[in-house]
Parts: sequence; structure tokens; C-alpha cells
Amino acid sequence: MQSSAASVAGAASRPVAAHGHEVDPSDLPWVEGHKTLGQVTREIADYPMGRAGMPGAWWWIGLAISATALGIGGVCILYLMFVGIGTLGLSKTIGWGFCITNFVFWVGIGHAGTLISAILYLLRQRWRTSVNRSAEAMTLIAVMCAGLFPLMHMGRPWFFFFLAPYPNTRGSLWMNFRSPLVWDMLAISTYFTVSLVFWYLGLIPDWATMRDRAHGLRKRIYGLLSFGWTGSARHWKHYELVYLILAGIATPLVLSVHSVVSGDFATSLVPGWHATIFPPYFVAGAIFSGFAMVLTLMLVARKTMHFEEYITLRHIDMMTKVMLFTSMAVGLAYLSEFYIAWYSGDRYEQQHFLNRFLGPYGWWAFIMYGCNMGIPQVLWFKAVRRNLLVVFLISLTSNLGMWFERWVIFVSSLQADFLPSSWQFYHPTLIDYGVMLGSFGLFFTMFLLFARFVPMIAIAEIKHEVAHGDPNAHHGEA
Amino acid sequence: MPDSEKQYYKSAAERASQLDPSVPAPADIPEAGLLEKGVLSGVAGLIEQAGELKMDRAAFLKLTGFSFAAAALAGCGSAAEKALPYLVQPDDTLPGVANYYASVCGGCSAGCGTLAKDRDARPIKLEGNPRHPLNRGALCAMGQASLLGVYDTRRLKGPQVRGKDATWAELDEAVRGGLREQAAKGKKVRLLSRTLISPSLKADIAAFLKAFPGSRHVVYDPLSASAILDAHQATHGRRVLPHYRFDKADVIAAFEADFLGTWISPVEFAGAYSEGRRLRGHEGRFSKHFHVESGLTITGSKADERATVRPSELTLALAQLAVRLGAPAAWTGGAAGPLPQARLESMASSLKSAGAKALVVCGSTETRAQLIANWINHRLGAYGTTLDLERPSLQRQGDDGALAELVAELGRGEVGALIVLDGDVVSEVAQGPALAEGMAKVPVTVGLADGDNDTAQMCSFRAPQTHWLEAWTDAEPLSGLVGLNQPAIRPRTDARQAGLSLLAFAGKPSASKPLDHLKEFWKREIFPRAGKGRAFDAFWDDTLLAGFADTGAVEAGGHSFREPRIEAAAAPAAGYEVLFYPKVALQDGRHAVNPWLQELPDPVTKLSWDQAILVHPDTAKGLGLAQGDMVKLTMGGTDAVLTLPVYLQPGQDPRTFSVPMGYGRAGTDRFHSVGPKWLLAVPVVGEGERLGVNVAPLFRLEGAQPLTSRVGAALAGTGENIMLACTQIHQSLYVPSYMTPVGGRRVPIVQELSLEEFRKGASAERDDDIPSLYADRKFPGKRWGMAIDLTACNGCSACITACQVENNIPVVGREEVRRAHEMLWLRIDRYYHDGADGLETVSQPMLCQQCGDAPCETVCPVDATTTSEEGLNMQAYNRCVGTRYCANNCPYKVRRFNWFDWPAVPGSETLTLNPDVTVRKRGVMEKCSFCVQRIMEGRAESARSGEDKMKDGDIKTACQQTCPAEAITFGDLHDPESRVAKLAADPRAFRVLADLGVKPAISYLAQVRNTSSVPA
Amino acid sequence: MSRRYVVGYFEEDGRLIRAVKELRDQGWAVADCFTPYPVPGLDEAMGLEHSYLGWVAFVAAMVGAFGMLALELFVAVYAWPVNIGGRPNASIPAFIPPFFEAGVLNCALTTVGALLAVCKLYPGREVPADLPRTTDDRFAVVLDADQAPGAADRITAALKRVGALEVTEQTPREAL
Repeated sequence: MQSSAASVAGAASRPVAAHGHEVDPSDLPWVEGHKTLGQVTREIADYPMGRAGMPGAWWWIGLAISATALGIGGVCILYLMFVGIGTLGLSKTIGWGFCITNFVFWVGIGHAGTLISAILYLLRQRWRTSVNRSAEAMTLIAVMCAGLFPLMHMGRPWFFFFLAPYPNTRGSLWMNFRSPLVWDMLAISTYFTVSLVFWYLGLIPDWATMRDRAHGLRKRIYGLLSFGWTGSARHWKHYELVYLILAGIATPLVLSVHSVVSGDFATSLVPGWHATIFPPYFVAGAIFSGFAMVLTLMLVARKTMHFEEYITLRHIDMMTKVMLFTSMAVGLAYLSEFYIAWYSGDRYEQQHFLNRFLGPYGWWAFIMYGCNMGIPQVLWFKAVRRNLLVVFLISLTSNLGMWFERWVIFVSSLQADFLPSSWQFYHPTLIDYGVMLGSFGLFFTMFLLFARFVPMIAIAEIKHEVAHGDPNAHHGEA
Repeated sequence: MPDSEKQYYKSAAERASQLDPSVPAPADIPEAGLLEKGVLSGVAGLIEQAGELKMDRAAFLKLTGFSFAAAALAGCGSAAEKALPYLVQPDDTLPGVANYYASVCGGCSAGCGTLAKDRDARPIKLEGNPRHPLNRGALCAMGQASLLGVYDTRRLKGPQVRGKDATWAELDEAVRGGLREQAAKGKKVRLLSRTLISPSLKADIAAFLKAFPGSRHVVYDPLSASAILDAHQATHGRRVLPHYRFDKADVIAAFEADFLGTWISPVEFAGAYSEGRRLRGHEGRFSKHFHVESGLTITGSKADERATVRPSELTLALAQLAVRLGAPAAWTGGAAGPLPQARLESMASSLKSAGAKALVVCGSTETRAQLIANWINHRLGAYGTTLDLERPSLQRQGDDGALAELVAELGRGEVGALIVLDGDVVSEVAQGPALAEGMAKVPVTVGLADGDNDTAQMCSFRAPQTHWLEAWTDAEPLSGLVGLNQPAIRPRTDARQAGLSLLAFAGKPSASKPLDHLKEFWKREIFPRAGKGRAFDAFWDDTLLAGFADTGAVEAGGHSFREPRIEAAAAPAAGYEVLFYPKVALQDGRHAVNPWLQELPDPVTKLSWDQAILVHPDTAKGLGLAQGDMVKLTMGGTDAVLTLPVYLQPGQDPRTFSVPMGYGRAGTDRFHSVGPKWLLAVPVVGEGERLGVNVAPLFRLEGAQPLTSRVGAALAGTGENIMLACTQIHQSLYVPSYMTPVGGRRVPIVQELSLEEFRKGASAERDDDIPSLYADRKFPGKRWGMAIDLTACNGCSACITACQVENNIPVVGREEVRRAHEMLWLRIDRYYHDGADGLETVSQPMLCQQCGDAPCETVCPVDATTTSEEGLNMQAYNRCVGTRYCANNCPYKVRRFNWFDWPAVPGSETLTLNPDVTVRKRGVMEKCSFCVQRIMEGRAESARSGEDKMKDGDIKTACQQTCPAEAITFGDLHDPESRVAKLAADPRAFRVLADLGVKPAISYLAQVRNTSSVPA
Repeated sequence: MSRRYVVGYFEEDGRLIRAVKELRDQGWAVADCFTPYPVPGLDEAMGLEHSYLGWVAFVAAMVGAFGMLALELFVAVYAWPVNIGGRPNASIPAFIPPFFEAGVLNCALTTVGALLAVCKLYPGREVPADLPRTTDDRFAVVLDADQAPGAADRITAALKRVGALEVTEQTPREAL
């Protein structure tokens, strides 16, 4: 490392290379503080290894709150399963409500992780390195939260295996591959499995790093988790290729998951659902909400775990730019929906969109359009992007807006479809709220445990960044 | 030309919002169904999956085992502790095969012929007797639901003396003693009953009365038609109720007579009315129907021209018409009259030109109104054609005067013994409280009711009579038309037939069993008139089979007409009035404890369970009231205050508030246990509370005549608002008119044609010729389909109950209806439209459309719903995991989900479960199957007998079977000769939402209204 | 007797690569290198062949995808051909999402499985040699000490010359 370099005054200052030429800002190191490799190891690994002292009060308070929420949700889910789906606010007209909204919301949240790790990897966006581990963890947890809903939301969840193609004793009896729910099940489970493998693959060298620094029981545990990784160059060769392949297949997978989820709606004939724009629209929305959630979590983690030098203002700047872009993509989709409703001449579709806006529940749409299309526009301003508090608030409104987007799409479409005689409104019950609370409880509980026991930043990858990120350090040497 | 530009709306709130976007649509709400919980698994499912019935040994064992298990389980209530096979197989009982017993419906006094469907010696469904001339196979909701009465757990187990169980001998001894003692003291002996149409029972009553000289039989009707009889006494010299012949009428003018829903004999009238309006292609007779009423009834909703008046203006309106037709101008007293001139002219000229083929009916309980109606009918020459006095109706025999006299006698303490045959008189008549007070003074009171009601509870002696399904009796609804009521089940309690009890009380106990007792009567009285030279046994057997005998006209009497003396009607008072009206399902409330009827959505309001005050939307707006607002209703002449919710009802007279009767009855506290039990459950009624308020005591007595209205009404909001259990507008959601799609039209879900245009060749708009990406799936054999004639359908909802009974559909309770969890497979959608001539209403039965390309099927992940070889959209309950995706994707929203394990009605009501239909468990989807069990029965029968038992018309769905208006036709669309195929090609035929490309198998025939000025 | 190895430690990956190149130029066979992160250019310097796992991934993806398609067709056309919403039995467009997902899933699992197998990685595997800090901030190059007579010393000298922080001789638990 170049220990002689002047300390960085701040990411905002114009970096000038030692020989006096301006450098491309994207070549600047993404980790500040001119860290040595050992320093990186210590700063990141000491948390999960318990060497940074006991977790602070914030951690325990957070855990207590989220575990309580999880407990409430658990009780609600058990109650729901024992007593019946009637305990939710669903009705003969609105077969899917809170639960499916939450499902799609969480699947959407689960998009940022793999997007960051896979697509940005392929695009050689080096800034991904600081956030990919947490983002992937968030993905896994969000997909777990999502997976809960369709399952417990079934009338007879104990027969969930009917959805799987398996040779059975009932003679010739199979499931229906034409059903988007089957696609859904396959897509979500594949997404979860591939994301898990991808995430764990990235963790293996880090477990090894921790193993080599630990003693006793910890060493044994990390030893098991690290699969005996040594950092052999021969292994790295295969490892890097496999990582690349996974990134390669995860990329279309990410895009496919929400496309398939959107298929649940797009392939139906419910006005408001029946739209070919849904796949890209949902993917854009998912990335938008995923990044919003990553930002929410990263801003908190950065502050509480003192990762300011790893997750820099430039990282946040990049993420807000992605949000701005996807917000506009989503906005374009919103406008396209209206345009197509008009242009298609489909009277049901037109009726739905008029109802969405002008109906008695137009305020849902107002929240949705405001939070997703309106508010993020302030991110055009650099000052806003650098104001962490504002960015944090925008990340929250974006999450809110995206929840309402799903709510508007699913429920306002169902509540007034074809025959006016069946029009209906959704009255969520306490159980609905309890289950939703539970999913947030699960999400934050798992994330807190992750932050406590797993290195939150990919150590091996960030070392590469530290060693090679500085254009003045090893340019052209390797 | 089909009027698809019409702005239909479903409720007042919606209309208000349509007209004025600034009006927020108020919250309102839903309805519900009951269920019998069941353990039975499925023959239907088995058959559905098999596609066709291959009866191999295993399947046979499954089927027989199933029926047996069902019987055993049902018999034991909760679990089979002991199951024994028949040692000796009864001749007439085959496991798994139903027997049908011809009988007479005892649901009300209309006396429709029924067939009781028995499985394993238990009646499980009531159907109309197709051979019976009165109802021709149809049966109303109330009649069908009265089946539950036989299994009612609240029935008395046996006779009681002063609240203690006793033997019949003890009871007879005590009653006989008491009667003799009272008679000896010179006290009066009185027998009180609602209209009885059984000639054999009347003979027994006559014998009883003979034993106690001076005793009298007082007959009352909760829905009194006494004024009609009294008026005929005045004009024709005979106290009779004419037999109204709607089928013969070319022009009908009805004044406050809901003859399709609640008036006298609605099933018969609906059939006859339909007969007069049956279109075949562009041809066919079509009567013209004028209707004048205060609230909106299903009859009013079918009218070609309708006007509303306040109840107090009704007589004046009739007088107005009479004067227009030539009556002395004094009849109106010079008052202007409530009918608009144009409407009056149109009515008068139509009636005049129809002459003898005109019919004026009036439902008023005021004799003056009936006298005017008689005068008009006489003037038009309608007596002899549309009003039959040769064979008058016996369906209402109540005498308001006699009842008033009895009340007076009771008040004076002159009555020593009162025997109440049936009915809950203290809850049913205006003098209820006075009667109750008087009864308390009567030393010997005997109640023959088999269940608990307020009157029976006051009786010191309880001599429960058998349910009509357990009794050997008869019924004569029309003079000379005698139905034979044979039992469908052995008496389930230690009950005795009313006639036998009376004879025992009179000290002349019949030695015969009920059957022999009846046979003796028939041999004596009926056989000589109707035997036609056969042996009695042959006659008896034939009659048992047919269900009735026709003895021809009994009383011959001239009908010289005496001009009535009519005093000018008093000018109506100003201000609001309140009208107490019978709801279609509950009517006078005699079946108020029946959960099927309570949950049945009212055809007009779509309310189930709730009793609400119906107010015209504009009036409510003026009073600052919204849907569901709790109000206090006060009225002139009484201090009573009714606290009920407001329901906005278009078509209501703006100055009349309508309140349904039939609520607040004893026994309705049982509904506390209806509905699923869970954390946030809200019972229908509080523990020990009654459902609704009984309004009978609020009827105004004018002399002896109970008037079901009061003037000087006022509403005062209490500030509270409740969600009503309404199945249609569950919420205030609406699509205002300004949201009509850009450059497009609203979808014509229901279509209407005017008769004039239709005669000129107009046809319904069809929108189903759309291209498909897929090759058509061929159905090699049959393709089941249905046609529903909206012109015939009046919304009476008999089909809903038929479906509910046939298909084991649960009752869910008020709260679940509010939450839109009602389970009814068949619903009737009701749409309003503000036509040029006032409100127009269309009722549209909506059930699974059995789509050819069913959108529900492709989305099911587990193939639980698929299309059969015959085009049926099948649902395999066993396979369903309950994703509810199919329901979301159903454009008709006819799929129903089992949100809970619906709790059984406590006790033995589960015995009505149809063993041919699976009882669904929690978490599975269900829906109309076109009564697949009936199709399979036909198929099995064809296979067994070798003949084709599936010819057109052989297989009827439950809804079709019971429809009084014959609006529903079911059959094979592939058979070009079938009625359904022909109807599907009718110029009026259209398919709902066919533009979605789902290929629905149900065609609707557009509603036609006769707006022409002359009868067609 | 197990084999002895000479291990050279470096602080920077650049020096490691230079060392590997020089040692190989001098004719020494480099057994392996150990680094805390994948060092770009190291495999080239060591003369390692490209990984063949790409082919494994491709084949696995094809097997997964077409296996699923075969299952779909078997189920919908042969085993259980029911009329579902009037759709053709072989609803190929509807079969594409499972086709894709199965391909991805099989590819991911098989490829990672192959990686673990090829590298002989599994939970509980013993680390073959104790090379301090190579997973932290050190870069190690390992050479067979007995590849030529007297090789150990000459290699050590060479390593020191190219700037190794430290050079040790070790006997690992198993062959590297």
C-alpha cells in the first residue's frame, strides 16, 4: 500500500494523481482510509468474531423489538393455520390481499442483493464490493419472508406438496405446469437456492480468514463453515470462474424472478393485472424497492458499525442514482399502463384505471405515484444525494410507495373487476396486520443476527479492492 | 335495440355517487348461508374425477359404503357408535337411491304440491310436484326451507302439562276435564288457528266443536286477506277469495299486491304470470303489468309501468282508477289522487281495452279498497275469466272480525278454554299484547305447536302436533283440488296429529292410526266426489302417487253483483308514513327460526339477517341519513319507538318508510351459535336475544281491520352507523358515470328490450364472436348448457334455497355475510336503472357459467379444476389446496371459498345433508357444478335401465326444477333440438362477458318490458 | 517421510507475481500459491490452465432445462392429458418459465458441486498446511524443496532475492 499518499480530505474533493493528471473518478479507490490488508481483516472480522466487544445497546434493542414482532407474527400465523383463512380480511371477491402484497413486496426487496452481486459484478462496477455481502444476505432473508406468505396463505398449507411434480400413489395425477403459481414456486425456490449458494460461495474465503485468526471452538466452527479453504491459487482459479458463472446465470435469474411473479398477475384476465408490461415493470419496481431497502439498512449499519470508510458517500451516491433511474423506469411503466388502457380500447381496463385514480380509494394510488415517481426526483440534486438523512427518508418513502404499488395493483384491481354486483372492499383484520408485522420482525431479526455473526463485508473481495483500487498503487503492475 | 347505454346501479349510495361525484359513497355491506358440518366424503368428487361412472366392484363398495356411513353418522349425530345393516331389506328402500313422496307443502297456507326426496327414510329435500296443477313442480324458498322444521332441535319431545313432561293419556285426561269443567261453567271454548286448508282436519274440528256447544273456531291470517273475503261478501254475497288467474290476464293492475313474492299463493301466481308473458322467438303473448305500491317489491320490479303512493293514498289511487272507469266521482271525494294523470290514463285505457282479460288485484287489508277493486273487476267483466269464483281459493280464510271478537271475549274473561292449533298468534297480529293479556286469564289453554313460540309458551297444556312431513293429512287450496299429504318420515318426536288431539280432547278419541283416520275421511268425503267409478283402494293409490285429487267445483253459487257503497276516502294526512311489509323469505315470520331463510338475501334489498328501515335515497339525503345509520322511528298513534338501521332503497315511495315484519320471534336466539367461532367473531344475536324487532303489534287497527301502515312517521338519527349484511353492495365502491370508458360503452351485463322494438325484430346485442389463439376443444358427446330468461325471472330466490339444500351449502351468519364470505353458489344480481318511466329493476341469476375456455382452470397449480368431456367445469375438492387464484381469475366471481370449517347448526339439522354431494372442508374452493350429481344419476339410471334417461328435459338442475317462473332451462347444447340450444339461438339471447373469450355455457335472454300502450 | 516444501511469504501480490515469474524462469516448479484474495495474473504467471468448469455449467444447464421440458411434456401430454381451460395439451409457451428455472437451478448446484469436488472442499476438511496469515494479509508461494538436489537452499536464496519477507521450510500434513 502507498502509505505516503496524503490523507483523503473527503470524497467530494477532486482527486489528483501524484503525477499531476486528473484521474477518472471511477478509478478512485472505493475504500477510504488507505487501509492495509490486515486492517481490513480486523475491522470487518472482529465484529462477527466477538473481538469488538459485546454488541451495543442498539443491537439488543433492535433484536428485542424485531423478535417481539416476529413472535406476534408467529402466533398470528399459527392461529391463521388452525382456524382458517377467514381470519384474514379476504372475501369472495378479493382472494388475495395483504399476504400477496407482502409476498411481492418482499420478493421485490430481495432483488437488490443478487442484482448488486451478479449484475454489477458482470458490469465490473467495483463499488458493489462494499455492499454485496449485506445486500445478498438481505435478499435471502427477504425471500424467506416472501416465501412465508404464499404458503400460509393457502387454504390447506399442509398439502403444499401437491404443487410439486412427484410420482404419487393416486395414479396418474400431476400438477399443472401452465399455472403461474407453479412457475412462481419454481422461480422463487430457484432464486433462493442460487442466491444462497452464491452468497455462501463468497463467504467461504472469509470463514477461512476468521478460522485462521480464531482459537478453540470458534476455530472448529469456522473450520467447518470454511470447507477447508486455504486460498490456494489453484482453487482461486476454479473459484473465480464458478463465481463468474453464477453471476452470469443469476443475472437472468434475477430478471426472471420478478417477471415470473408478475406472471401471476399478467397472465390472468383481471383488468389492471392483464398487462404485458408487467415483467419489466415489476423488475424495475423490484430493483427500486430493493435498493431502497439496501440503503435503509446500509445507512444504519454504516453508522452503527462504523463502516464509513467502506461504505462511503460515493457508494451511497451510486445507489441513489440507481434508485433515481429505476424510479423513472417505474414511472414510465405507470404512464404506459394508462396509455395502453386508453389506446387498447379495452373497456374493462379503462374502467379499472379510471377507478384507480378517481375511485373512492384514489389515495392509495396517490401514495404509490407520489412515493415512487415523485419524491425520488429530488435525487437529481447532488446535495440531496449527499445528505444522508434525506436519502434515508427517501429510502423509507420508496419502500412505503412500493408496498402501496403492490396493494394498488392487486387489491384495487380485484375489488372492482367485471360484474359490479360483486364489487367489494378489503377490510384487513388484526391477523392481517399481525402477519405483516411478523414478516418485518423476521426480516430484522435475521438481519441483526447476520450483522452479528457473519462478516458484513466480503473480506476477500474488499481486499482486492483495497489492493487494486488505487490507480496510483499498482496500475499496470499485475 | 338493446339499451347498453343504460346506467345501471346497484344501490342508492351508488346512484347518489353516480349523479354527484362529490357524494362520498357510504359504507354498507353483506349477507350469508348456514352449513351443516359434515364428515361425508365424496361421491360427487369420485364421480367428478372418474368423468364417467364405471361401476366396478370397488366403486360399488365405495358408493354403498359411503351412503351407509353417511346414514350411520348422521343418525348418531356425532359419531357412529354402532352400525347395523338391514336385517331385512325394506321393499322400497335402496341404499343410495332416493324415494320421492308426493305430499303437500305445509310451509304456508298456499298448499303447493310437493315431492319430498327421501334418502334412507329421511327427507333431505323438498321439490314441487310437477303434476300438481297449482305449482307445477315449483316451490318457493320458504316451502323448501320448511324442511328444516322436521329436524328442528327445538321441537317439543312430547306432551307437557303445565311445563312438565306428561303422557298423552295424562294430557288428554287433564284437557278433557278442563274443557268439560269450563263448558259446564258456561265459559266459552274457543279454537284459534291460522288458515287451515285440510278438509280432514276441518272435519275433526267440526266434530270437536259439536262436542262443546257454543264453541267456535276463530281463523286469522298474519298476512290478512280478510278484507278481500269481506268485500266479496258485500258485492257477491259470498265470503270467498277468488282464484286469481294471472295466466288469463292480458292487462294486470296490481295495487300493493306482491303476488310474485308474498301475496296469497306466489308460486302459483308467478307461474301463471310467466305463462302470460312467455316469448318464443319474436312471438308469444305478453301481458301488460301496471303496479302501484309504496315500497319496491319483486312484483313491482317486473312491472311494465310502476307508480308509488303512500299507504294511506292506496285506496284513493284505486278510487281514482274506478272513477276514471266510470264510478261515481264522489268515491274520490274530489281529491286529486296520487296517480299521475299519464299513468292513470295508460292504465285505464289498457284495462278497458283488455276488458274481461284484465285483472285488478289489491293487497290492501282495507275492505273499502277491496270493494273498489271488486267494482273495477266487475266493471271490466273480469269475473269469470281472470277471477274465478266457481272454484275459489281457500288459501286465506282468516276473519279479522272474528279475531277482534275473540280478543274482546278474552278481555272480558268470558273464555274458559282456548286451544291454539298452530301459529304464534300473540306475535303475529296487531292485538298480540291484548291477546296475551287475555290468555293469561283463560283457565285452560292448550297449545298444539310443535316448537317453542311465545303463544305456545303461555299454554298450560302442550300437545305437540306432528310436522307436516310426518303427518297423514290433506289440503284443499282451491275448492275441489285436494292434495294428499303423506308423510316422508316417521314422527321424530312423541307428537300427535292435530285432528286426533282435538278428537281426544272432545272425548271422542279416534281408534285409528293417522293413516286410517285419513282414509276413513277420504272414503267418506272425497272419494264419492272424485272416485270416478274406481275402487277406493285404486283411487287412493293413484292419489298417493299423484299427490292430489280433483273433485271438481264444490260450491255452485251465482254471482250477482251488488254495487258497493263507497264512502269518499279521507284525504291522506301529510308527512311521512311507515309501511310494515312481508319480506319474500320471512313473510309473516312463521319460519323466522330457519337459518336458510334468514340468510337468504332478500331479492329486493339483498339484505340477509338484517332488519332495516327502507328509505328513499332522496328522502334520506334530506333527512341527513346514510346507509346503515341507526335511527329511531316514531309514528303516530303509538308510543313505540323502533331502533333500526337505515337502508337506502331506490324505488321506495319518497314519503314512505318500509319496515319488514317477521322479526323478533321466539327462538331466534338460537342464531347466537351460527357462524364460525374465532377471535373477532360477532354473533348474529347476543345470548338470549332475538333477531330484530317484531312489528306486528304496531299494525294499526281500524275497527277490526289491521292496517300494516301508520302515518305521522319520523326518523331521528342516533349517531351510530352499522354495517349491514348485504350481499350485493358490500361496500360503497362505485364507478361513477363520468368514468364511462373513453369512447367506449359500459359493458351490457344485463340487456333490456322494449316489446315494441322486439316485435319489430330487435335482438339482444351479442359480443362473443371473438377470435381465439387456440383450436376449439371438441366435446365429443354432450355439452351441458343453460339458458336463463331474464324476462321470466322475478328474483324470488327459490333457486338459491334449492341450490343450498341440494348442494349442502353452509349458512355463515351475519358477520360473515358482512365480510363477503357468503357461500351461495347461485346468487341473484340485481341492477337498477332510472328509466324514463321511473325505476327499472333487473334480476340476474348468476352462477358458474361453465366456461368452455375457463380462466379459472389454467391458473390452478394443482389441476383441481378442469373441464369434463361434457363441458362441465369441475372442481375436485380433495385436490384443492386453496390458493384462491381461480376465484380471482373468475370474471363472474361465482367461486366460493371455505374460509372456515363452518360450524354445524346444533343438532339434527345436519340430517338434511345430501349424501350425493361432498361436504366441503375448510380451505377448499367450491362452486356450482350444474348439479353434476343429478347428471350422474341420470347417467347411472340410463346404464341401469338401458333406456336413455338423459333426453332433453330429463335432467333438471335444482335451481331449474324449483323455478316458479320457469326462467331456467338446462340441457345439451349439442342437441340442436334441445330447448336450451334453441333458447341459446333466440333473438333475445346473449352471454355475459362473452367478449372475454371464455365461452360461457349459459345464455341469458334479455328482459323485455311491455311499454306499448295497448296490450300485445 | 513426507515431503518438505519451501514457503516464501510476501506482503504484496505484485511481488508475489514477480517472484513466481522469476522462480519459473529459473526452472523451478512452483507447487502452489496462497493468497487472501484471487490475485489477477497469478494463474498466468504460474502457468495454470483455464478452468474447465464452464463446460460443466453448460451441460448442467442444458440437462436441467430439457429435463424439465421433458417432464412437462410427459405430464401434460402423456401421463395426465386433461382439458385445462381449453388449452392445448402441449402448451409450450407456458412451459418456458419452468424450463428456464430448472436450467438455472441445475447449473448452479452442479457447478458449485463440481467446484467443491474439484478442489476437494467439504465441511470438516483439514487444512493441509499451516501457512500463517495467508488468509489475512500475506501472500505465500510454495515450492517442492526436493525437486532437485539442494533445491531448498537455492530456492530460499531466490525468494529472498525477489523480496520475500520470510522464507520457511515446512512439512505439510498432506501433499499439496
